[in-house]
Amino acid sequence: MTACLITPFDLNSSNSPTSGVSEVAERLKNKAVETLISLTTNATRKGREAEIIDSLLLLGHECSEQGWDGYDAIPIENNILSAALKYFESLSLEIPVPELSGENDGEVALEWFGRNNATMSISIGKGPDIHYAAIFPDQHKVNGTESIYEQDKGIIEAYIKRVVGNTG
Amino acid sequence: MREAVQLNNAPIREAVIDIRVKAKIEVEQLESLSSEMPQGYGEFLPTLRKGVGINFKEDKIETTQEEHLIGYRSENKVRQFIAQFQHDGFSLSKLSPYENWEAFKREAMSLWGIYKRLLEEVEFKRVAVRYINEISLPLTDGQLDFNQYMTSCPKVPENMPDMLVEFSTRIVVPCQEHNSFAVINSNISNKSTGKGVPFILDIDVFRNEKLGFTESELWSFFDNLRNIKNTAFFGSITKDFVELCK
Repeated sequence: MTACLITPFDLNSSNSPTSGVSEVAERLKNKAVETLISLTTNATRKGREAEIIDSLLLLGHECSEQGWDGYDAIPIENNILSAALKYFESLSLEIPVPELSGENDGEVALEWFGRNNATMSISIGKGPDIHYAAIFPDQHKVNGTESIYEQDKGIIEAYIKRVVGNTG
Repeated sequence: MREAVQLNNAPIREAVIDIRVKAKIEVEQLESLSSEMPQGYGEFLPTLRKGVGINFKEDKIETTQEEHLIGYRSENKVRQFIAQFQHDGFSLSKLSPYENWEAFKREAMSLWGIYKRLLEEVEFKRVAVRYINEISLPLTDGQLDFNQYMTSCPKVPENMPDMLVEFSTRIVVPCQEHNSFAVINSNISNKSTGKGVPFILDIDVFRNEKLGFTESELWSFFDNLRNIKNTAFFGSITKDFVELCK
């Protein structure tokens, strides 16, 4: 009989295998990433959601280790990736899929871009607040903090639309 | 279980001795190690960690890449060693052909000695050995009986055809005697070559707690990790597999 041992096992160490440099090691790593994405991407899921999920998975893979930026970056935890996904899904369908990037404090940034270097950035971390900052096409700037649980996303969505140019 | 035996044609594609430390070394300091490398090692090449972004802009999808320098690697092409010196640790890979454990360990000890001089204090975070084995399992009349070569193959559910075109398994086994874990990945792909079906047996044995080793204790402990690896390897294969490696 093979017993399943319930033990405080740190999965993070096993999920980050000892690095290899050979061609076989690279094949194994790519296979693992492909498997992870294929297991978590559902072909019946609507395209918009599938796109951001793939991006989050890729981000999680690349930013999973301490010092992932070559310096002191904190790993991005799965609960933060989940929070970023849930936040995006709470926005209206008019909002385009953002670009995702990791921040060295372990937060995830959702970014939208527009003409004239316009940018809207929303940072999501462990806490209950999101932090946003925007430069609009006319170069006006705003920044602020809002609860991640805020039901009324009107202001945030208005800023995003103003950046990407959907305000008419 | 098969006893560990010396294999003249071991299917080892890469063996790794890996030491992760708690302290972070400035990447710029690592380059200074190049002047201390033993004869036979080539130039220090930067090791980059790459990040990939996917950008959705209007109707276009663009990918972006970022690169961060995390250390350097140096290769001994004659002896097929690749040493990696990184901001958070050191590793030595031995590519095939594999010689023996003592030679591999000796090389790692020598290069670790160069690396650790940059550490103000040596505090271990994780120590590991990893052996990636790959071998082509021969076909008989166009088919392969996995059980002829492996002791633990995935079972096909009842009432399904008793055949596979591909599998990939991963188990994590606690080795409580040494406060360690063995991660055992096995993988058969359906990309048959002229020589047979490629089979990968990847065994990664590590410890990531209670690492207050002295220098001599560290290298004795690596012997324990290697023994666990051998137990896992020889416990995964049959005598027919051993015959393929002679």
